[in-house]
Amino acid sequence: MKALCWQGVGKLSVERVDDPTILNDSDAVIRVTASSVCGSDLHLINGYLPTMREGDIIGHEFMGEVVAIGPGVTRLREGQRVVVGSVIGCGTCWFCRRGEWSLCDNSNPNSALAEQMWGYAPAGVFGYSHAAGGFAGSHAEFVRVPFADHGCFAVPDHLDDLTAVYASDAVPTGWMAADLCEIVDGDVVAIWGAGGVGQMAARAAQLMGAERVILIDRYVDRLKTAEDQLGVRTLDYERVDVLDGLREITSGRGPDRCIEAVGMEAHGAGVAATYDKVKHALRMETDRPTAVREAIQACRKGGTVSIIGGFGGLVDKFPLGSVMNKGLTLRSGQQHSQRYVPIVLDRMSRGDIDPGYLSTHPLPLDDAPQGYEIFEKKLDGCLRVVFQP
Amino acid sequence: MNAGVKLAAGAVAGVAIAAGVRAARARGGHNGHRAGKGRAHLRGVTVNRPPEEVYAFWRDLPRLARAVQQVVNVEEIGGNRSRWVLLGPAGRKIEFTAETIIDEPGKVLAWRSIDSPVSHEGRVEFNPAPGNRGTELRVGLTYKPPMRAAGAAMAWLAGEEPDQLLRNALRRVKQLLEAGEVVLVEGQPSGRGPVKERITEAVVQRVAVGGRS
Repeated sequence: MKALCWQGVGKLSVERVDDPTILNDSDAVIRVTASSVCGSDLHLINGYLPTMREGDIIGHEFMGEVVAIGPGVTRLREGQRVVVGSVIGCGTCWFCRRGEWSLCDNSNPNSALAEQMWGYAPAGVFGYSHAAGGFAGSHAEFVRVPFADHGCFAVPDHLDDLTAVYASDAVPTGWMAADLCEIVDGDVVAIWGAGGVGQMAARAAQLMGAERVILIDRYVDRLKTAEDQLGVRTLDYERVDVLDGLREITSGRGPDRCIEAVGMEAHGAGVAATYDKVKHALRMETDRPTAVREAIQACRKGGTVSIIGGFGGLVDKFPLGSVMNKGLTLRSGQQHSQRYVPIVLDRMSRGDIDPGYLSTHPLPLDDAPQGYEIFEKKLDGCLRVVFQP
Repeated sequence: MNAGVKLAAGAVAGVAIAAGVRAARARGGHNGHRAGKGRAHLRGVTVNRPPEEVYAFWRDLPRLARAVQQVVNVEEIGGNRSRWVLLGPAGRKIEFTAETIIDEPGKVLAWRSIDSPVSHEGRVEFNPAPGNRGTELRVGLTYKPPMRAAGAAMAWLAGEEPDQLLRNALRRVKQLLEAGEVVLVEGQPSGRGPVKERITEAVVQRVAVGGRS
């Protein structure tokens, strides 16, 4: 089959590789009909996450048709149209049973690697480096899905592929970002990052009762799209001072909930941003926390900061003083796919969430390397590139 | 060598030793601790199943053997004894007999080795985990390395640290009991040829040494 492989920092190529097979009894093999890029892939491609090996197949947000099931699979049948959560969970460990699927004890075969990095190993993720399990990714014609009974969800017929694919990652991650905030009616929610996840977090916040949602970024076309599609307010941080802007929008209180949907390659302006960029380039700082710092600084006293942008290592100059003295709650995590995918599929099915507009660039798999270039540089109004092998 | 080079070489060696000591300390004393003339390792894992079930798994030797990847064969030979055959480095077989000396169902098991190249004892406790989390499975392994650093067994012990063996086995026991299987990633497709794939697997294994569970 064809698959998109990482070949070194900044290098991607489409290769002919073996088809996946059933390796464990609870596996299924899916024929991929849509696989989306994600901002977190860029950290991987650009060498900011260690433990990638040349030849790794990437991609983690996908859907397709079940073509094979292992003897332990009971809830799926061949031919079924399913969307697959990006995070893998066994369903039987203490964490999975509590609904914290991205903390699964048993779905990362390389858990010793992750333990060295983070203390304990979270769940495996498709196509996301060997520290996350070394699972072959979804930018391919076929993917093998472990614990398939838990990870695959039937897609309602009336949702097309270019809409339903986002139930795999962008929509549930956005939903979780908002869910972590415990939004109550009347809350003002500020979201850093107007990419696919940030926009889906904005929609989720609205559905959860936020009075006002403000989206922050510098890409004018993305901010405009969000205003048109979601009716959110926006702030362009290259034109206005974000902290001031948020102070005024909230009449001096600050946003109640702040969501960071940017991740480790944050861009910023000013001295702190330059500091981060230099240290990052020299690999003296593994992650750039520009947006996180701002979210912490901007949050009202006693508020919540929900961090779901991708981070891997250590950051400098973390505003712990602001966190402590304002009594903030920080919440974070990779998305609990198996918990949130059914919730968002239900909402998508009823038309409450409609992510179809994110698919600005559907492309064949053969064009994947160029697709990532368009996505990374945000050319041509690109929000998401979706491969249809 | 002239004095300057000797000094430099000494300095380099000194730095290397210091780095090695720091690295060893950073690895958290994974050589176990002294126990009389031997070494002891104590590791635990929390399994989300009741103690009786974990005990039953441990008593079912073929099932237990699946958790220790190096086991080639195990069989009960009567009189509370079992015969184990393990695969060491370079395909050498290591055999020993284990005798159960304590057996409190659902609570404790203890064994000692008979005619093993490296004599060892083990004790397993099946304690209820706090907060309804299932079982705290705690395994203590004591062994006496042979006086001479020679022989297949010692090489095996040196190559595949007992602590790492124990950690890996416990992780697999947990996965087998909870999820029913150990998730495999070998055999997946990639853009690598067969040689590079084997190298990658070896590299990942090597880098993975040093986890703490």
